[in-house]
This record gives sequence, C-alpha cells and structure tokens, in this order.
Amino acid sequence: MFKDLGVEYSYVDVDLLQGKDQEEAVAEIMKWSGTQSFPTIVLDNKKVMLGFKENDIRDYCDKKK
Amino acid sequence: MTRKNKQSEQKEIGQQDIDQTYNKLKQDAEEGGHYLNPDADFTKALISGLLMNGQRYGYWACPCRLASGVRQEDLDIICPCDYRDIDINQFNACFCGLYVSNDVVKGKEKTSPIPERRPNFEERKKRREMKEMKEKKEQTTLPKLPIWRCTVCGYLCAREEAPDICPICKVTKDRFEKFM
Repeated sequence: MFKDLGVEYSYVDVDLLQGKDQEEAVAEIMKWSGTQSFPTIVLDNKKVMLGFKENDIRDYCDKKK
Repeated sequence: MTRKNKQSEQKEIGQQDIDQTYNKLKQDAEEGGHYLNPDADFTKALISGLLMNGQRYGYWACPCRLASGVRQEDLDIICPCDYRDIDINQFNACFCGLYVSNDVVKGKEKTSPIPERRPNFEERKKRREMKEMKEKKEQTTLPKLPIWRCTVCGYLCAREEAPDICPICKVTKDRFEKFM
C-alpha cells in the first residue's frame, strides 16, 4: 500500500528476528507505543499507529500532499 | 528457555491445508456459538499464519502477536486465546479478527483494529507465579474434588484433573485453571 501511495517506507518482521535483535526491536516498539501490537506503524518518525487502519493511513498521507 | 530455530522453516502452507482448517474452524465455531470472520480471504490469511506458527512453534500462537516459542509462556495466546470472548463482547472481534460477534456476521457492526488486552511480560510472569503458588497451597488444604475452569470458554468441571480436551471449545488441558 505504501508503494501505491508513493511513500517511502521500511519494515521489520519482528517475529522472524531472533534473540537480542528481537528484544531490541520489541523495546523500540514499546518506546513508541507502550504496548506490543502488530503492526506498529510509525509515520514521519513522530506519529504512531497501531493495527492496519488503512483509511487512517490514507488520510494521513493525503493531508501531507 | 528453548527457542526453535526459526530459520529451519521449510514447508510452505498449502491452500488445501488452509481450506480444510477454515472449514473445520468454521464448523467448530458455529457449534460452540462463535463466529469466524465472514471475510473469507482475510480469515484464510490469518489461518495461514496460525498454521505457520504451528510449524514454527509447535502450537497455534496468535498470528497477530509475538510468540516466545515457549508454550507455557504463550498459553494465553494460543488460538482461541484467553481474551477472545471478552474482546468480542467489547469490540465485536478478537484481537486478530479471526472471530467476530454475531452482529458483524449480520452486517450490523464492522470490525477494526482493537487495543491489546494481554498484560505485558512482567505482569504475566507475576500472574503465573501467583497462580502456581495458589494452586500449590490449595493442593495441600483441599480434600474435595477440585473444580477446573476452561480459560477460553468458561466450561467448569469437578474432577481430579482437567479433561484432555475441553468438551465445549476443544482447547487442550493446559488451558484449564483450578477454579475452586
């Protein structure tokens, strides 16, 4: 979807990480949202969104245009 | 703590397996008064995740949560999870959306992502330890038959040990807790 929107993105499959890498990824998620929820999406390094709320993401990207 | 090597996954989840599991879960759900999400494509994607977790961990960890790989630590998120019914009551769907309320099936309500109800790791550990202590204590003081409660559907039975499989919702013995 981000591709369709022409938005730059990167992602991590946290469940496929192991050991320390996974702990670090989880700590990062907890830092953003205070909870462990998937997907956790961070927009522009400031807004965090939990769960795949397609309409909300599209709205956010539209507003930026 | 043992962790399965996640790199050693080989088998792809076949469409036939997914369809068979879908039909089985749908039938079980309806017999037990629950409802699978009517969006079949979405539901089958979740089932594919469940089957993948079955291969990866040896149990059906919720596909929308992070499993530890240690069954004892993940008992509460083995599908159907301990939080399913309360989430359906409050939000019309379970956390991952595999199970929904009757209102969603009828088209009266829609599903959307819901907040995580599962306590964090430390809190879960504390609760497990408290439960174990309580059960140990009761074992020495209670002479009569214990009552076991299924943490998924609430089924109660008084017998020496919990049943191997819950006769109502079909979850395994380790999903029971001592109720009295």
